Amino acid sequence: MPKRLDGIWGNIFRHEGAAETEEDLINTLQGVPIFSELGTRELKSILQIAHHRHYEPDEPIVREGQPSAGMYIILQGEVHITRRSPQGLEIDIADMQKGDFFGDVGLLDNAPRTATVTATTECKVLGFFRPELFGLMENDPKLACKVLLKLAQVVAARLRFTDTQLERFAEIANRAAIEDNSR
Amino acid sequence: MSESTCEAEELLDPTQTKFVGPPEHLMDDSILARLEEHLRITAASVSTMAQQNMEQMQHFNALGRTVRLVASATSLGAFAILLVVIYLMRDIFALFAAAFLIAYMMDPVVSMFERMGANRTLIVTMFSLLLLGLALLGGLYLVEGAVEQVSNLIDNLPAIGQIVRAKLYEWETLFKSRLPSFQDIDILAQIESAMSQYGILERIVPTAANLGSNVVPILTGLAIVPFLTFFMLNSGHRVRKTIVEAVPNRYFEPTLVLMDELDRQLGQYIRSRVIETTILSVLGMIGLQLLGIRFAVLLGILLGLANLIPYFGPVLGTIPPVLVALSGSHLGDWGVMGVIGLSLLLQFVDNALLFPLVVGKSVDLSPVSTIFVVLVGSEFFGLVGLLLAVPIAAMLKVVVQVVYQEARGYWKS
Repeated sequence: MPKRLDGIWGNIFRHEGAAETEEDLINTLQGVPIFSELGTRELKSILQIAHHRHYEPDEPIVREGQPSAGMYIILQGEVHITRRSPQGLEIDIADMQKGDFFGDVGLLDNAPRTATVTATTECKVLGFFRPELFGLMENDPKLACKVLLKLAQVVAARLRFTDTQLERFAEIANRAAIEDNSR
Repeated sequence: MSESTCEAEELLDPTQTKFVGPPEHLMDDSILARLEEHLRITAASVSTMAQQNMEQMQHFNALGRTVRLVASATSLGAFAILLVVIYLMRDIFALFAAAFLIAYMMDPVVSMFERMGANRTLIVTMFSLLLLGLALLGGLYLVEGAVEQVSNLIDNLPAIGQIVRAKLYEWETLFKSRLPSFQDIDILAQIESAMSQYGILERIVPTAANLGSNVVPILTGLAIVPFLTFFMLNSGHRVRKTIVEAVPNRYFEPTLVLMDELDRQLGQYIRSRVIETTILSVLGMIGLQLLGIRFAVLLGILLGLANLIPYFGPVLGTIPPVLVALSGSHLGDWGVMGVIGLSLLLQFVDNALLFPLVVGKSVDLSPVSTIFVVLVGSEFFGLVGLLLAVPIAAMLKVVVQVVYQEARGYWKS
């Protein structure tokens, strides 16, 4: 049975152990596409507004169907991503580890999460959320523009990838239809 | 590996694109019977497992429902206790609420200076010292002036009452001479009986007198509020982050969304209502001064503040200056018309310019809900309840909306 500290007192008196140095955190952030072109000073600003969270093994980080609030970057540990099929079966999507990130589209709107992310080991994550992004737009519009532009580029790249996949599927479907007709 | 196993695996090989059918010797009856028997055993064990799983699921669901019920009841109990504590400590709570309100309104200004490169603590210290100076000097002056005006008003109340009564009698006579069918109705007596029935004068005089005896607590409050404001403004962001960090993982995202929604919907509302009230109070003071109404400063502030009360506010705010105007202004009877005209003009300025430009549609409550919450607020918290009913109701509405959205997602997941 995993040890649970999911309570107010647990969070207040949680022993964090060896905390990551600022340099480590900045290096991790630089690996995330939407922060990849930011300078050290700008990354420090992001670190100031980001939230550190700690999860025990088997503890869900985000749940499918719940409104999105923002993205998470894994600082330590591993997570497992699953989603539920329309028939109610749990489908494995991916495993992620240190330096990986998820939920970045949640920065744009509060649409329901499309998958459940569960910590498979003890996990430390850094959360960057929509309210903080809005705050950044007011307090440091230049930095917010850089983040938003990168976010738009990430979304555009995914859209192009989806288009390519759709084209491939359409091609396969056409070929199958032609083969069926010729038979 | 036996030959038949090999061929059976070939049959199941996903790389096989065409189904070729079993070889002839696999069609043997004994093999088919054995296969059928295996399938029957497998189906029976799958069915038993499914049944066990179903029972376990039902057990967990029942347990989950009980836990959720206990958790909901505990949360409701805690919320009720919190409300009682707030009610019992309402004086201390009011000081914190005032400091929070000022800090909340000033935060964008402090952040603006901070963005320009200034040190936050330095700006907050300067602002708090300025606020303390203004509160003590201005407060002393205003309280002194207000107490003087209130005590004058109390001293003059019987005289004003006599003048108002004489004026009403004069108007009643004029009214009856023009409309003889109302001869038998004693309008003045009916107004007096209604006033004594609801104890209007008995309520106004002690309330006004209390203002005078509350000078020391008001001054203490004026001195404490800037200090509280300093700490709230200086560590505002850290306090928010610390609160969010203390929230359990399960409720972390909903809390963040809730705080953001509250900030977005109510922040703009509170700031804009303060601006609106200040402008209306200043315009009211100028207008009443020009009309030559006594106690113009006090009545002007009252006119602006009353506007915060939805629907009834403007009417309630107009009654005191009308009564004072009846007791005498250099415009004579036109003074009363002037006050009513000023009140209507302020309403026009508010509805046509200030509200659409400054307040906008920041709080969206239906008229029936607004009247209901205003009545409930006044019943439990008096004047403070009247003023704070709408923003608090809007806050609760946002909380309910976010909790509902989260709960829906939670049940779906």
